[in-house]
Amino acid sequence: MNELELISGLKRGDEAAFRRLVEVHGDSLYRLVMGILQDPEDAEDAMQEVFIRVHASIDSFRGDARLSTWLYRIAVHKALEKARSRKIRLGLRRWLPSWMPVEGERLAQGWMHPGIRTEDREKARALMEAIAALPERQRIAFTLILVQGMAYEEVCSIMGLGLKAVESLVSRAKVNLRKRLGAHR
Amino acid sequence: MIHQELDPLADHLRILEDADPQSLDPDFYNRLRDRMLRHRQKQERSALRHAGLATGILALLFILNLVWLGRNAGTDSSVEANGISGFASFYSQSISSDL
Repeated sequence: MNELELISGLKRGDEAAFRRLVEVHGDSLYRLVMGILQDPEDAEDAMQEVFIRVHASIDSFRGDARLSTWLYRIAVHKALEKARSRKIRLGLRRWLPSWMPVEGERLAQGWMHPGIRTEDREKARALMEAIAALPERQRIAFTLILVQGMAYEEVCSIMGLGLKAVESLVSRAKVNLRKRLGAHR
Repeated sequence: MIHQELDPLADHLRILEDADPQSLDPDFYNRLRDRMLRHRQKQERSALRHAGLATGILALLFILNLVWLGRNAGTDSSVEANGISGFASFYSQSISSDL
């Protein structure tokens, strides 16, 4: 099934096409969302919301951009939405009485990429923490280009920014990360 | 290529490059389908609630309108004189003047 057949299947409401969409794009979208959220439960939740949104709004997809670009754009939007709501939830924690169950406890412990070798975990944790501390747009640009390995042109299209702006975001992200990681060594 | 000793970032990024790529849980699609089903049912329930509410409001307005017309009709001598047909004529005039 090529992309055009996939899109027309999705617009017809064909379940096989939808399943194919999840099979083809699910893993790469998940890596992106995990790169931003660094939390498997929030990432799964965001991923479900991404596909629900895709299902609901596929008719509005005009084909100006590639399907993957459109999907990445929705995934970035949903991941950021989730990250902001998590920030608010965690901010509200300080107002809760001490006896109440704490939903964000797992975040404080830090997430670890399951594919990372044991001896590299300390460094990976430092990198993840440093990426998580970046300003929002720097974090997205850095994750898409250096963690996901996407092309600058595609990232420009996903973020709705020009090439210079994306290059500048990546450059500033690198400077910030080097500072943090240099301090960590 | 940036030398790893000089660039801590490259050193750290290498770890992610070497890691096994993450992938979605194999059961993700089933969970997604269940959630979409729940989402659709919720939307249908919400649409029914809205339709019910709208019908209720319209019915209430209609009843209030009838009560108001009934009260006015009681004081209208032409309706008293002409009976039901007079009331219907008064009612249609009222509706058109409302519009």
